This record gives sequence, C-alpha cells and structure tokens, in this order.
Amino acid sequence: MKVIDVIYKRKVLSQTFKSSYTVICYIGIISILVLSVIFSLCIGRYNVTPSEIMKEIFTTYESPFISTILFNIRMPRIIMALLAGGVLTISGCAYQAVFRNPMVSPDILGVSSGAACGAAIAILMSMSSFGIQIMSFVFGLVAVTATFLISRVLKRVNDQVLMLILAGIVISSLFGSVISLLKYVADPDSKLPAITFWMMGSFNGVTAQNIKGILPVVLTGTIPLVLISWKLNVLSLNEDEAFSLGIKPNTIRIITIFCSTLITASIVSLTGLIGWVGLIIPHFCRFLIGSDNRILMPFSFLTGSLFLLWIDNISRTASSLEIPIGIITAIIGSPLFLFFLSKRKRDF
Amino acid sequence: MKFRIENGVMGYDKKPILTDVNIEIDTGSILCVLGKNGAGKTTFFKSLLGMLPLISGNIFLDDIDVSNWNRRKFSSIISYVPQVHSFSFSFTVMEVVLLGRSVHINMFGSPTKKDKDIAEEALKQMKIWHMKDRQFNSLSGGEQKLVIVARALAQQASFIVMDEPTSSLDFGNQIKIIKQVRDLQDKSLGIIMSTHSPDHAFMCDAQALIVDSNKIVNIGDCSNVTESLLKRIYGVDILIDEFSRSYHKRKVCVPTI
Repeated sequence: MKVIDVIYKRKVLSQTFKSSYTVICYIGIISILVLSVIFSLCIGRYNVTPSEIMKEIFTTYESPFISTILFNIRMPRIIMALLAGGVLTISGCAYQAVFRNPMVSPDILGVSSGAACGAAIAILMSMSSFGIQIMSFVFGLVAVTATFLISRVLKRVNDQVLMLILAGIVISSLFGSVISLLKYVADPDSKLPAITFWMMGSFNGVTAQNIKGILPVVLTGTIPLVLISWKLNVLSLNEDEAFSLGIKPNTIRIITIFCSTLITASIVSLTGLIGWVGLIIPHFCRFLIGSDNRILMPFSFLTGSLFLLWIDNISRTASSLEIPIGIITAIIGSPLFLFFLSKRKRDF
Repeated sequence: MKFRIENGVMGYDKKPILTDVNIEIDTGSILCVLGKNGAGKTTFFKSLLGMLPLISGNIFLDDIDVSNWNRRKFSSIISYVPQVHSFSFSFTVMEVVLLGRSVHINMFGSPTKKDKDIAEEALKQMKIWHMKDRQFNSLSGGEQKLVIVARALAQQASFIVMDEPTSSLDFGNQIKIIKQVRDLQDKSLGIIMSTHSPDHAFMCDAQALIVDSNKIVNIGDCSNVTESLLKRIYGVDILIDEFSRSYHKRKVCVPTI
C-alpha cells in the first residue's frame, strides 16, 4: 500500500512538470498495456512462447494448433477484456462528471442492474444477441433516468449526493428483485443456468463475431464521449456558473448519459455483470493524472483495459475451473475502494 | 459600449419581483448594487445575466436588442463572477481559467493554443501566474476569487457581473479585490457588482444602484448616497463623512453604535 503514498507524492511532482508528466503517464500505461497483451497471449492452459507468437504473426509458417489458440480463443477474449475494461471505466468517468460526484458508477446508479434485468428478460424470451443488446440498453437507460429523477424529487430533503446514491440503491434492488423473479420462473435446465452464469460476468465463449457485433456500438458511444470530454469539466460547476459560461448543461448531460448508457449496456449484454471497475479505476486515475476530463478519460480507458485484462488472466489461469470475472472484481475491488476512500483528500 | 435595460420587469414565472427597471452602464465604469438581504439582488443579477428571462422589457447592447440572443452569444458580452464556487473535482488553476473559454468553443471542441494564450494572459493580468499549476480547491478564499475573476477575463466579455466579490474574505483580501476591480475599470471593462458595504462604492468611485422593495433606484454617482438613504436601506443610523489625509480623500461610512 506504500504504492499509493508514492503516487500521491507524484501528484505533487506533477504540479511542477505538468505537461511532460502527463506524457510520461501515457507512455507508461501504453507500454505496460502492450507488454501485458503479449504476456496474456502466452499464458493459459497451453503455454505459448513470445517467439512462437512472432513466428505466427510475421512469417508464413503456421501451426494450426497454435494459430487456433491464439487467434480463435485467446485473441477475442483479450480484445473483449480490453474493450470491456475501457468502456466500463470511461462511462464511470462520464457518470461521475455528469452527477458531479466522484462516488458514482454504472453499478451504483442502477444502470448495470437495469441492463442486467433487460438482458435476463431477453434471454428468457430466447431473443438474439442483438435483442439482448437492445433490451439491456433500454432498461439501463430507464434505470439511470429513474435514479436521477428520484434524487431530483428528493433533493430538497437532504444532501443531493446521498439522495443519488440512495435512489441508485432503491432502483438496483428493484431491478434485482425482478431478476430474481425471472430466475424463479425460468426453465431450470436451460434458461436458469444461462441467466445465473451471465450475472456473474465472464468473457468465456466470446467470439470474434461477437466483438464485431458490438464494436460499432461501442465506437458510436465512446467517440462522442471523448470529444465532449472538455465540456464535461464545465458540468462540475453549479448550474448558474455553467450558464454564464455559455453552456447548456442539460444538453451535455443528455448526450453523455445516453452515450455512457449505450456503451455500458452493450458491454453488459455480452459479458454479464462486471462491477467495481467503473468506480475504482476512475478514482485511481484521478489520483494519478488529475480531473481534467480531456486527459483523464482516455487515460482511464487504457487503465481500465489493463485492469480487466489482468483480472481475466487471473480468471482463466488461477484454477482449473474458470472463476467468473464479476466475482474477482468484487473481491479485489471492495477492499481497494475502502482504501481509496480512506485516502481521499479534500482537494481530490 | 453601452449595456442598457429598458422598462424591465424581472421575476419568476410571471410573478414580478422587480418592476420598472431602467439601468444603463458604460464600459469603463463601475456600478455598485446596494440593498439589504432579500431585496431582490439575486433576481436582478439572474435577469442581467440572461439566466432568468425578462417578463417584459428589453436589453440593449448599444442600440442592438439582445433580449433574444442565445446563451452563447449572450455570454460573450457579459460574464459572471459568482459568490460561491462548488467544485466537486480538483482542477488546477489553469484548467479553471480555461473554462472561461467555453463560450468560444463548440460542443465537441477543446481549447486550442490561442485559448491557452488568452487564459495565460488573464492569469498574468490578475497577477496570479505563479499559481497556475496549483489545485483550485486548495487555494484560500481570496485566491479563489482572483482565479474566478481571471476566468471571467478569459471569457473576453465587455461586462462582468460580480455577486458580492468581497463576501467572506478577510479585510486585506477585500481591499485587494476592490483594487483589482478598479484596475479592470481602467482596462475599460464595465463592472456591475453587489456589495454589502457602501464604503466599497466610495472606494471605487462607482455609480450606485439601490435595490429596494420591488424597485430599482438609479441614483447615479455614489456622491449622491446620503445618510437618510442609507438609513432607509439598512434601517440603522450611518453617518457619512469626508476623510482626508494627504492624497487620500474620499467619503467614508461611520455607523453609530
């Protein structure tokens, strides 16, 4: 845990070498990410050496066996982990900016459980994977809107942040009970296991075809988020200030919530529930690189990718039985979150 | 340039709070808004900034009617220094000042080199260049106020509305802010500020505006502020005297206790 103290000192350093510090952070994360991807390709039930990978990619020599492992099994899974980690993190950042609160994330706002509920309904009705995506998006959007409206209505009663989190809990548990109901009526031989495993989150069985399916959706959601990132800074001001700076906060809010929910739901529909990533990684990145969303959001994307890549590596290699992703992120995420909470400084 | 409101009626949802508002301010002058708590100053400022549409009446810039200008165009002529700052995230001073450029940057854009230069210029003008990489939330109240004024400068509007710029500052910082306000006046900006201390109006040699029970009274130069007027606004006895020592000559308020 000394690491965080060191990082905190870096933050002081960063104020002296602002611009080059940012560049160093980016170079650092990208190099670690590249190395991790190569390493992740190598490890697994059957170990492949880096030289074999090079041979496979850069020469005409082809071993059908290694080629299948690399390109049909490991590669799609790694890409999915990178994509899911990045997307969940960047949408976490976006929600935090919109709700002016470093403590919210897709899971806390009820987006995840809403999307999960939509997906469970879709699975129960034997819909196609496209149908699952649509259903999770619609339900995710409904959930986040409901959370926001409830907190708005109750705003005058108490502190807004608290209301937002409480509203999120209410909506989450509401959708949670709907999911339980769906499980209760689901066919115990086919549908019930499908829903149950899906809830735990996994990259198992992700194919190149799946990734091609969600990639356009993810891009349509992520690109506007990155482009609008500077304007998101304005949202951390109060309403009157934002107005006086010539901004219509609601327009930015709607675009951001729409895009974040779209990408979160598209990932959730494929991988199932993966909690904590959208909360702790943006938190960690703010520590490291500051709160300017223009710098923070792409950096969080990369860091989230790295995080989930390693979580997936643990998931598929730690034991002979694959451990569901959502379980590992919760086990690692909850103590980490408490730690960040205790380290939270006033100016952070 | 001249900013003018004619026959303005201000308030919420057709419920007028201030009626018959006629004011005019030039660039290069200061307008001090005096009035007791709850007299309608907030309503006045919100309407001035275009956050609250006028119930009736018109806003003019020189002879152009700007009442129906959109948010961005309006913000390019008048900027705002609010009283309280709520930042939920930690931004550096430079990042905060850059936010002032958002009027000039479209929805999906981000600041260019030129915007950065303008922000740097604003920091230098406020003499806070040295704190550009510090965290805004870690600054003292006086320093934060200077940063927010720099942000308003970066917005490059001709008029700045300041909502009690001296509130909750210590005595030294209050004077520093007043000095800065006078400097801005010399750079031919038009400043509209509210204050709880009529002394500040004397210090700035400002025009004075009284907000009093649903009315706005434009009394012109602050030398027209009289003891009976202060008694009417604040409900206590205040003497006005001429202070004079070497070059320092101005009116001062002395409350009788």
